[in-house]
Amino acid sequence: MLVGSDGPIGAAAPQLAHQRKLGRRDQVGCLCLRSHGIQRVVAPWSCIGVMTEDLQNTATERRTPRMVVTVVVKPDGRTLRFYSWQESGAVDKRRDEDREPGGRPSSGRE
Amino acid sequence: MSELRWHPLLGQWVITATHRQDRTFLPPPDYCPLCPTQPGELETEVPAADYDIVVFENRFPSLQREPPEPTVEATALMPVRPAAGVCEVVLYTSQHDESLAGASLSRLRRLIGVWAERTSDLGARPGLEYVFVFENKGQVIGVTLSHPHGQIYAYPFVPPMIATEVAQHRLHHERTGRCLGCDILASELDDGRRVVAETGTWVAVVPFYARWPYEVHLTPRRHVGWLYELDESEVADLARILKTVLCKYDKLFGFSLPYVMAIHQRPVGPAADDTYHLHIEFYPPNRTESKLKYPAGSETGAGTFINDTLPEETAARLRALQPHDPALLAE
Repeated sequence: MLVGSDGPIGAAAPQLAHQRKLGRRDQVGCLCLRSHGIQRVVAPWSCIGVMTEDLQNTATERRTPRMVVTVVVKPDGRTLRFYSWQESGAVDKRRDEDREPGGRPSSGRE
Repeated sequence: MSELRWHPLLGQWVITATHRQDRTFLPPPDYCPLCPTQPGELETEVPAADYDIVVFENRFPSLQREPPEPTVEATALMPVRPAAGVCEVVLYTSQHDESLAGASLSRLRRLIGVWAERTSDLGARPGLEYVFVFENKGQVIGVTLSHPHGQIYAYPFVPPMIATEVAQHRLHHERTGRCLGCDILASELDDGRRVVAETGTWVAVVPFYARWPYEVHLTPRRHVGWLYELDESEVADLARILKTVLCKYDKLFGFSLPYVMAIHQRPVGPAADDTYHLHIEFYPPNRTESKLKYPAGSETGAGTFINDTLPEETAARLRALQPHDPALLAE
């Protein structure tokens, strides 16, 4: 089963998170990733990907649009997260209704 | 310096965070630390020329990932512990003059996804027991930066108001075998007088027990505890009812209404309790166009709120208000 694409979703992801059973893909449609020392569980409906350099190849098929989180560590050690959404098969595509005049689509990667 | 000091009379933790005295206070409009960084200009918190939604750790946090040791010694009567936790800022948009009410439904859906993701991520970290998503809006609430943003506090304990609500849910479940939140919602729907708006999966009411004038609670019809449990239709409905209520708020007195928005989710980790029902509470301080409700003697000194309005009347007034432009609620 692909990540977050289907399956008996619902309480499974948070339950796994709270049981600290992180860092693995499992049969309930939940992908757990580890990035920058931060463990995260993906709630299937929200379809979160972590597109850091070491994990770009980890992302697999998800519902659309999918959330992409890029984590940047600021010079003072604080984390900064850029959220962007990708349509199926497209990269860095924002919904037209939110595209501000003169603005550029957020790449989500800085 | 920040630390947690135990209040033995109230049985709750108090956060001391003296470094917050120096935080940015109402900067001039030509420099907003939450706007994107423009070429050749002073760098802001976001080193990018534009962004969609951004979350970053607060520069002046009350709770810290690596907190310093307390500056005072604990006693058996008055324990002290490091102020461990996370304080994050959520930037809703790169547009300085926008507000949550002005956001498109798709932006609201994405924001709900971000809130859910942060709850899931922070809730999985050891040592944290509660993820609180909230927004302070308006200078009268004490907002120091006007750029549209909210905050997230991840506490190493369950805050007292949530702890009380959890205890009440548990007690009600023990007595009746049912969920308190579900029963309250059923009661409000049965009465109907305090319902402000409805969708297929969410209901907005001025609760029977409202403490603030024009207080509104948004409750999902399904028994869920965390935002990340919502399915796609529930997220879409939440975006729609959120926007509906915010548009009504802005039309109420003809200006962008200040409020506190508090998302009450279930505690996380070992403190999680499946009897608790997710809901979102709004507390606008205005009791009229020009008069504010101040938490004063009875509220702050005795913990008992005095509401100068009748929930049945404020709900009727909010229910009757329609957005200036119905297209606001279109996709």
